[in-house]
Amino acid sequence: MQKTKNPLETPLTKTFGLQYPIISFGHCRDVIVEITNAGGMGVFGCAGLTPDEIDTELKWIEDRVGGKPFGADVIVSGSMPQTGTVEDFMAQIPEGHWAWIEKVRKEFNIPNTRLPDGTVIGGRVREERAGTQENARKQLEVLLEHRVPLFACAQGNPAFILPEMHAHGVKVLGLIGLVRQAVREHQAGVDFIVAHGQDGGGHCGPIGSFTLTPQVAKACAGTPVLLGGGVGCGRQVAAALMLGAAGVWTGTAWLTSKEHDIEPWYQEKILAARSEDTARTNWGDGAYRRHVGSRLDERFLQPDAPPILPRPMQGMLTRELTLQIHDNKVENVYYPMGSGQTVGLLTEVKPARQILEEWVNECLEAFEQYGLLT
Amino acid sequence: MTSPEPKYERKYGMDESLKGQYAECDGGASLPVVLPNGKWGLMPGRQTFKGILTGMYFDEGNPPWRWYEMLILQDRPSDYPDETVWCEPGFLFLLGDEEADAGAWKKLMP
Repeated sequence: MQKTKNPLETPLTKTFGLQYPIISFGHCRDVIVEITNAGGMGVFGCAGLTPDEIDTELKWIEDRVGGKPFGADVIVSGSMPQTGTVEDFMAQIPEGHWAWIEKVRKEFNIPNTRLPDGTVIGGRVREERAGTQENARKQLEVLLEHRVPLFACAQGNPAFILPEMHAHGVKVLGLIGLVRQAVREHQAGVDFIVAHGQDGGGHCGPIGSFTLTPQVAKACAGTPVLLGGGVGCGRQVAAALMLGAAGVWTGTAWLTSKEHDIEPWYQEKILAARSEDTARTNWGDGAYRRHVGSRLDERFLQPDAPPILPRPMQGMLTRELTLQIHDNKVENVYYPMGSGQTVGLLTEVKPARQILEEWVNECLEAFEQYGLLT
Repeated sequence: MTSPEPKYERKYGMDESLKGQYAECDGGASLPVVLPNGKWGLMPGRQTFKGILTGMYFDEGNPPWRWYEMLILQDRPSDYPDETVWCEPGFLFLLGDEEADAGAWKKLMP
């Protein structure tokens, strides 16, 4: 059996000059900076931000990472409408859907109040936004202006923008949920593919990462593949590498990091949750995503629940209710933050850098245990 | 409600080699359509669509983002109101004739 000098040296680390083949995805810029400076790579989730907000956030990160490579994640899904305004989409939500939402609000004793749109929260103005292809293009233009080292395409195939990204020196990573999608992105020429398993948090596909990753690695030979979904310890990093991955794409674990700006009561919920406590549902915005399960998830499965609307209408329908829950800190009804089945491995708050170092050490110990280190 | 017009230049074309091909796409998007209630609407969907390609496509913006038109004959979301859907070629997959419903769709093509 061939032994390896440094199993953590992969096409991912070589391309970007990283110490560790670990990507931390999330919406908290502090964690992105911490991981990037600690030898991994942070990828900042921008999908819900305006182009101006993305510009501000990217500048903030750039000022703190000293030229180290980091990434930005945008959705360019083909399931978004080309164009349209908030008013256009709101007009397409049936009255019966609104009536059911109101019924549920009363059932759970959720106050009919919330902080209004226009309120500045965390430095950003709260407002209703319609996810359209038109908006995605404007977001991508900001990434190009910044020449972000890595563009992560969260949904959809980034083929149309690949030549321009590459011309600006931007590497492109595509997240997929099916092997055939991976093959298509491989053929298009993306630089990295994340085999995103259904055990992952947030939007995810229907196949487990342990099953999906080796299939994608085999089908897309020549394009480095990362395992995404379910990673919460160093042994899983080692396992991902053994499955043929060039690294891991992670998210949930960082919600339990000390630096994260997550609501404390939700962080506590993640720490207390077991893997079987998460649920993969599509009532939030129309696309399947995993989070800590709740009574509201069960309610949406009852026979009287209305059909799930196409995007972006479904997200607009549920937004009012979820904001009322959030702003009034209504507990035990709904936990919005995307969280994967790896919650079962997470039991305490730690600094992000410590989490990363523990994973690296445990990964190397696993290799050493089987005599694979020279 | 007025018809929402795209702000990027859109160029239409026809790819004869794809015309009549049976296909499936993961997600699709509709151009502005007139809904059954007479209003303009946009009905995108995350779901899978199956049908045949008409060969019609458009390129939008620069760099061009291409979309192919599919006539939906088999699978669509239950509340999808249109007979066609525009599919991003990135996740558009051509299928063999044997996967079509007894080839009945062929009769519908000119």
